Amino acid sequence: MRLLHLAPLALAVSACGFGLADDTSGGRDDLPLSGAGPFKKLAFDGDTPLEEPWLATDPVFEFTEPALMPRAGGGLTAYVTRESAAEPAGDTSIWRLEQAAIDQLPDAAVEVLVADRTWEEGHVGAPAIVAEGDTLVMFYAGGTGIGRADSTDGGHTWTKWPAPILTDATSPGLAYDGATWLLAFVDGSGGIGLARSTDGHEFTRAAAPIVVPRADDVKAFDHAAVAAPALGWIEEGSGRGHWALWYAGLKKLPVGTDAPLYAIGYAASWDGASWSLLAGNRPVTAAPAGDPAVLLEGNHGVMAFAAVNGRRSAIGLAITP
Amino acid sequence: MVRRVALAAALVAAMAAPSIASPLDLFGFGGRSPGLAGTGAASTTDYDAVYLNPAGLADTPRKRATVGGLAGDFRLELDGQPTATTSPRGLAIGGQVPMPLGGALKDRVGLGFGFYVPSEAINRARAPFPGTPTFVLLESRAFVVGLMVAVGVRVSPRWSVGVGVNSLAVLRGAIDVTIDGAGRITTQSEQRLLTRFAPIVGARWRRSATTDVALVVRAPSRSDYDITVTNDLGSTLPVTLPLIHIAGTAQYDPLMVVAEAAWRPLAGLTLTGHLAWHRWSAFPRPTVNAVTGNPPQPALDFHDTAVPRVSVEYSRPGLGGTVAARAGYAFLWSPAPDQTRRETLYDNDRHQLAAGVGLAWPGAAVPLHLDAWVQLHHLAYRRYQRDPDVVAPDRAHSTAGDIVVGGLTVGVDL
Amino acid sequence: MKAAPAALALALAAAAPARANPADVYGFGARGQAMAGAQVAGADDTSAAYYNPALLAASPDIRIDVGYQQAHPRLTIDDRDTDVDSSRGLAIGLAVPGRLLGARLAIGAGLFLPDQHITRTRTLASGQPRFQLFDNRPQRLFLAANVATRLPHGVYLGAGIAYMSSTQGTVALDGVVGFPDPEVSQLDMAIDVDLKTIRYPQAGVAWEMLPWLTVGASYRGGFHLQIDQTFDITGDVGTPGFPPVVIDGSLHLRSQAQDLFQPAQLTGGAAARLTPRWTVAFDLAWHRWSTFENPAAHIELGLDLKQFQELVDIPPQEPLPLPHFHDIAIPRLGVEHTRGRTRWRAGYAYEPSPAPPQRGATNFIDNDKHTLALGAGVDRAGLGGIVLKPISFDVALGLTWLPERTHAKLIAADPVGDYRSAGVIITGSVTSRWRF
Repeated sequence: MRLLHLAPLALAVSACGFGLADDTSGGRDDLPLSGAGPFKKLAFDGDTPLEEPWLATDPVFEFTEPALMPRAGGGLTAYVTRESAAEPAGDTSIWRLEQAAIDQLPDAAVEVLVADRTWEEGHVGAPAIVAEGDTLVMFYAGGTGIGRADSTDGGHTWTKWPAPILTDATSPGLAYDGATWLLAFVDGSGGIGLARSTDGHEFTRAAAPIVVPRADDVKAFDHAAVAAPALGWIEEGSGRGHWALWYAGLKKLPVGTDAPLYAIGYAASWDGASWSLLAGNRPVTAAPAGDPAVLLEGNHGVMAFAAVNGRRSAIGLAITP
Repeated sequence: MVRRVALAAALVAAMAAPSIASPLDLFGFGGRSPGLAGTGAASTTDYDAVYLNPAGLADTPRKRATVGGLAGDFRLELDGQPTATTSPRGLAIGGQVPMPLGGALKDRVGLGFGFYVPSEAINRARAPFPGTPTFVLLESRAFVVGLMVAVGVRVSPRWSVGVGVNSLAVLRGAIDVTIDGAGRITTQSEQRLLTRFAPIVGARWRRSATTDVALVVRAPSRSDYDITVTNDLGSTLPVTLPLIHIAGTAQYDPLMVVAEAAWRPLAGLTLTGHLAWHRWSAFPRPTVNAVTGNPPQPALDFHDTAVPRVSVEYSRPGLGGTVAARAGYAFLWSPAPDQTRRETLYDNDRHQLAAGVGLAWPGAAVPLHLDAWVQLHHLAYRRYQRDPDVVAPDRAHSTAGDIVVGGLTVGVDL
Repeated sequence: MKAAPAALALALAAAAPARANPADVYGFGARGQAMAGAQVAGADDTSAAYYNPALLAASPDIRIDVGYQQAHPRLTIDDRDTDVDSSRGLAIGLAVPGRLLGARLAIGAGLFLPDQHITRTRTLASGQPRFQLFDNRPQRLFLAANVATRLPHGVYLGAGIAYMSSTQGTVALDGVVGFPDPEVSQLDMAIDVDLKTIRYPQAGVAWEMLPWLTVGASYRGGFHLQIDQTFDITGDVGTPGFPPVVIDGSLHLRSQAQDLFQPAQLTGGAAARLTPRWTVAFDLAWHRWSTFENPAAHIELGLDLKQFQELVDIPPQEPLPLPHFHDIAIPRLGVEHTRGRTRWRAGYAYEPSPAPPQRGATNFIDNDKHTLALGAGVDRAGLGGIVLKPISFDVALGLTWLPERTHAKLIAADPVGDYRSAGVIITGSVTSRWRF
């Protein structure tokens, strides 16, 4: 029997069932993503410069209400609300920082938007940003309203609109599908409201909130309160898209000086008017996590959230899958 | 002329299936060898050569398919009280094929295969908590699949050699307890059964017309498992569970080197002497530490053993065919040391008495071969003196018992 | 602990073709693959151990076939390759004829042994997208053995029993669960796990109706592998060496899932030697996919943390959604042209998807499949005076195309969202066929 006839047989025999051959376990690459996560907070890794899961943290100043945008060249750009270093104490402004990769320390934060309008009452924060062509459009909370600022240099400098876009509202979330603008907000009604526009500055409020606390379910993660909406427009593999809403939910009101323990939930809508919550009454990011901001790229997603680190609120990162 | 050969479910070459030869080592394999107390390496020419000595397949006379069964009763005692040890039952299948090759290999090559399938469990991993008494070498070794194939070649009129494999399985995997997209607690797991082969190599020398000598080496056979269990339940549980490592050895047979001589002083009479070395010093722990916080486990200190066996077989024409009567004896030293510390891996010296009968009608219209056998294993009484600095003296134990097992096989020449 | 939650298809004498997962998906043997699997009446080698055990009795020779086959899928979701594992391994067949009481008898076996492992079981979360028929189904051993006999008037019968296995058992841990640091846990372990045997019958029949026409039928029973694992942890919670935070707590977790589902199959077909050189074979198979159940794990969870029990928040275990698969019929057509010692082969098969569009909570992805195959074989007269009968060498190449399919979800807040599935699978095999 010629060895040539035996050679491939011998090789095959030697590999058969031993597991010596390719050991990969596939079928789980690049699975579709809808925005519903779940998002897992980055686990601390002593081998990386980043002190996971914290993107932005400070022993003195609080960081809250992030927004995320993709960074040119890879990584992400985060816009966060931070207490202003200047007097008076307690005023807030919006800061910008860049992170080249998920496991790297971000560049030093730079203040990009301060409260310099009367109606802002010394506070600007809660940025929500979308891209309209080459322009970045930011909606932000100031005073008792929501204002708008635009940037044409990639978010380094911003030009404010003279008057608030929406009054008696705060904590904006913003999404744009190329034709329709959706603006989510909190207005004291107890739920998350929604306004719609075709031009980005004239908005029509929906009559009723789109998400309310689940008061009839004491075990629901959003039983006591909902807040801090973030919106997105997600295009799906079928060619259609849906509006995505991430929001902070509170199971129990905090007692005394305890910090509230938010978790982040998810809802979605085909038309922006009728919304459905994620089935199973589960948050997409476990408590403690509030003030969500999500960046989806392909079949991977990054979420920034606010939670207490030590004694101050900080911005952390979570990823999916 | 090309000899026609019919074979029951014969498998060739690189066959892989999970198996460990534990019931083979406990009771023997086939219909003839168990009735001879496990001897037969120097005399067999049937399918049982796949385990006893693959060289015997070189002389297999005819193609044959064989099916048989085994049933036993474990009567093991702990401190004078019977234990609830499951008795073994299983099905044995074998086949042999003299290969109709030509030229230099004409009438020199034989193939064989053998299966043993327990009726209750193909494989059993059983290990109680440390400190719980267990008959470590008996309680689960009877419940393992055996799957063997072999080939034998006569290289000269006096010499035959053979090689076979006993195939086993090793389990690797991971289980993750987590929350799925709909909020349900679920497990995600992936586990792979890998092949491990334990080769069996044998040689036979026809010293004279009345004497055959055999030497067989059986590589150790071992079935391991190694599963990692992780959990990611978030806030569902207020306690974080550690990573759990479930690993150990479900079944193990040691390296064996067997030397046997078969002498036929009279027509129909075969006397056999057999001595085997079992390398029990390499016996692995049944389980490893499940968590990293556990203190290191001490070595087991099992020791190698020598196993002597003797048998006698007398066959003569009768009942229209051939009748054979068989008997044998073996003594199996226990490789387990005195269990003085926390370990309670009990084992006893064992006396094995065997008897069997064979009936064959090779020339009949339906050429049948019937073999029946029975074995009695007597476990010599053993008492374990515990180290009072480690274990409370009142936790001393004694073990004893008996095993009764029998089998029947039916073969048909095709 | 799962000692071996593996699918073991065991072959026994009078045991029959197991649920040949990789063979179900990709075929068995180069000739069978080249003819797109249209072999229930046309198998002329040991691949009959898979296609129709009755045909094992058709040849008077001992046959040993040894080959190697591979399948490389590129299955995409939204045009992204999901990297489904390839299936490759050794394919061996054996058929041994004989006579008993004047009747021709044959015993045969077939084996496909993957390179990577004997068997792989996999349990995924219920909603995780996967190509259900390719994700793990081909990742197992196929082992089959049969008995066949030739009856008068050109009728052949084959039958047997297949063995499969399921895992059942418990792992118990007792000691101290470290709190707040789980790494200081000290737990002793006890294991009691069995790999249980399950038996399935199956059969085949063939009839040489005319000298040039053979018809055949085969049946393979369906099965699925049950995986049943229990974990029990008992003991204290705290730091070893210090007073425990919880005394005598317990956790009970039982996971029940199934994997490696095989539908029952009934196949009928014919093989016609239209001319001395041309043979045409046609099969029609029915696969009973309607019995497919959601393979995700069903969990029982119990926890007792004594005074901290109120902190336990175990979500309710909602029932798993039904997959709603349906039965399918698969037509196959194969042709073979013989010229001297060379044979040329081609085949086509169409397999509709048993899975509906995944519009709800499940994501058991599957598409219709069109398979086109080509192959060739050459005969050689013996070998060196040792092997006295002809030897054949066969090769086959196949392409399976999965046309794109869109899965549009009903609910906007779906965890996965809409997606498109598509793909191609390239298969190849070589087989050497020996007769004695």
